[in-house]
Amino acid sequence: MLDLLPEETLREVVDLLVRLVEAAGATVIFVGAAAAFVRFLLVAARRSGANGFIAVRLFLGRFLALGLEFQLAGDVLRTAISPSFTQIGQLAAIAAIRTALNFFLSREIEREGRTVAEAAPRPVPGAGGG
Amino acid sequence: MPAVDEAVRTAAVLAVVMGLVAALAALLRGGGPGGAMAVLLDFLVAAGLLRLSLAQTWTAIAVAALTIVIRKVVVAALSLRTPPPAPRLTCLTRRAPEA
Repeated sequence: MLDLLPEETLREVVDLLVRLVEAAGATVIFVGAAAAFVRFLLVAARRSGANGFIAVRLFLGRFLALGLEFQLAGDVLRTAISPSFTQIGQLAAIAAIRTALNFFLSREIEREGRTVAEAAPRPVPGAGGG
Repeated sequence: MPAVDEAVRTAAVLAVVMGLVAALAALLRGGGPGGAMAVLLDFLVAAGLLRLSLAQTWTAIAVAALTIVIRKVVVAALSLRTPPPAPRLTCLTRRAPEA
């Protein structure tokens, strides 16, 4: 029988894709942390108060959620090549942790986004029109 | 790939250091102790997520999961203790016109 896509080749290709996607997730998380660090320092230098810090935490939370999405994509890809029950179990545990964390992060982003929006000054009605 | 693993480990350590500095800045510049702790825990969660991508054994997964859960619980407890912003009562405290 003609073997168009040997299992070993599939395993190597998926493994490479998993590595790429997970590296992208880790990069997003680290870049987000570094950018948030710079913004924290700027907020501290300007003395913007507690709301400034909440806004930057919101910014960091969005990057963490995006990085988690990449890592979850890597987990889904990995299910294609996990041969043993132990590997599948570990994958399920990691995916569960990431999914739960993503859920709580999204809730936190939503809540703190509302806090920042409430604290922001509201535009005066009729002032923006031409 | 040991080089990639080493880079991720270094990134996790850097995230912890950045968290410590940012929390100190928040504490000194009006963020309050609760705000500073929340900032630190957010950076520590980022470091935990980076480490979780290296976890290959059950022990490593359990340790990473427990660390993240503890940090999230502390953040949740801090946000519960923080009182909501007081409503603006400017319209209710308008002075009566003087006679």
